[in-house]
Amino acid sequence: MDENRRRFLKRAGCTVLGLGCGFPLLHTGCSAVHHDSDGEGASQTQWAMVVDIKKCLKKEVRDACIKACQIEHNLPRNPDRQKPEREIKWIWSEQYKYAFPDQTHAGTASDIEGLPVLVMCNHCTDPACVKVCPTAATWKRKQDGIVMMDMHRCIGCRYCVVACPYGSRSFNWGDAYPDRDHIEREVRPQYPTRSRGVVEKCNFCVERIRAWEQRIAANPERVKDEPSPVPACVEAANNVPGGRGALIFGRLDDPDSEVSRVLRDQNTICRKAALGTGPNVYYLM
Amino acid sequence: MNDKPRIIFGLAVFIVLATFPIWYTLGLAAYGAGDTAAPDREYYPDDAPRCIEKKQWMAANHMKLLYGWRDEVIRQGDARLYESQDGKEYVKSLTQTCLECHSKPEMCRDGNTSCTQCHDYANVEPCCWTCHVELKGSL
Repeated sequence: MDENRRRFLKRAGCTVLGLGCGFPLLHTGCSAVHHDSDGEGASQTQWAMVVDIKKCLKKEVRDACIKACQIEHNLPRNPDRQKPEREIKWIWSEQYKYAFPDQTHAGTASDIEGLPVLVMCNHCTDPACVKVCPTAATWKRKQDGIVMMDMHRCIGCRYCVVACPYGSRSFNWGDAYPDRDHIEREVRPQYPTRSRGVVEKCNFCVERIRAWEQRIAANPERVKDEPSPVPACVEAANNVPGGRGALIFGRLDDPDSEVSRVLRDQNTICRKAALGTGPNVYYLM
Repeated sequence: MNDKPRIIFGLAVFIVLATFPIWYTLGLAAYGAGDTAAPDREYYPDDAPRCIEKKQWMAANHMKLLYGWRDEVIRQGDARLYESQDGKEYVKSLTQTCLECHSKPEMCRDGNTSCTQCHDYANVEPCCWTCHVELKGSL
């Protein structure tokens, strides 16, 4: 064969280039297709919430939940921030037809369509927001499945706001508390506020879960006596007369938890289940 | 053409501009002139109750400590207690551990927290306060 050095070198260079680029691409392609068991979705624990729509029909229950969350996490409550385009909400009340558009049809009664439903971040098993975040400012915790926000790293691109199919995320268009000199009149100092330019959402009161984990770590022998952590909204609902059980919080991996029992014994629906995000907030009709 | 005057004039203008940060701040209070000088180091006497680590170590390393805590607690989910060099344990939290004391009225002076006092003098502005609540000790 009539081979010359130049042609050989060209072909060898292309091969090396191809292998160098090809292998990583192949690896990425494989891992995108292959869902391994300790990948994105599965975590050791998954905290979940069950919302009893009937019990939440009482306005005192809904208001108590929303107010408790706002106070606990220093959400701005002034009227300017309640305008739809400026609203910061972690838990809020949505009409049934907007919360469950896939369950609403031409025959749905209008009083059902307008039913108020408490909605919040679903802490999905396969969250869309986590997939799109360019800085990993949001991620799903392996240890307990909570979709976390790291405000320090958020750059405010709002890609997650676009990606979330449930509208759970709010962007801080302005500084909620510009008067920093007198801020202690308006906020609860045990929890930070957020600066302008970051996205926030319900975090299942992860700070309470963290404190609970610390108490268990400090006293492992008392783990049975230590009550399960309860988010602010659930606590507020339980304190409203007739509101106990309106919101139930617990671990899916624990078959004896109230959440697991409710899911076993009763029929529940999820928001936009067909999208495949795997929401972990379940609704009892 | 004799360029010597022009050169000397240009050089003088350059030197004035280049040393601007030095001569401009000479009389300014914020940079240590007059009464509002360096923070009172006696404010933290050597026998003050030790928090986390020794005073000198903390002055040098508190930001590194705080960043480490932030990454461990938030990003890694590690909420275990921090063990200081003298064996005591602390919750790894700016809000719950540090600001519990460092925002109290007795730790503040003229409406400034102990953080602001040193950081203003050192002219290093940390961005913590855009979110974390800095109580000014004046409720």
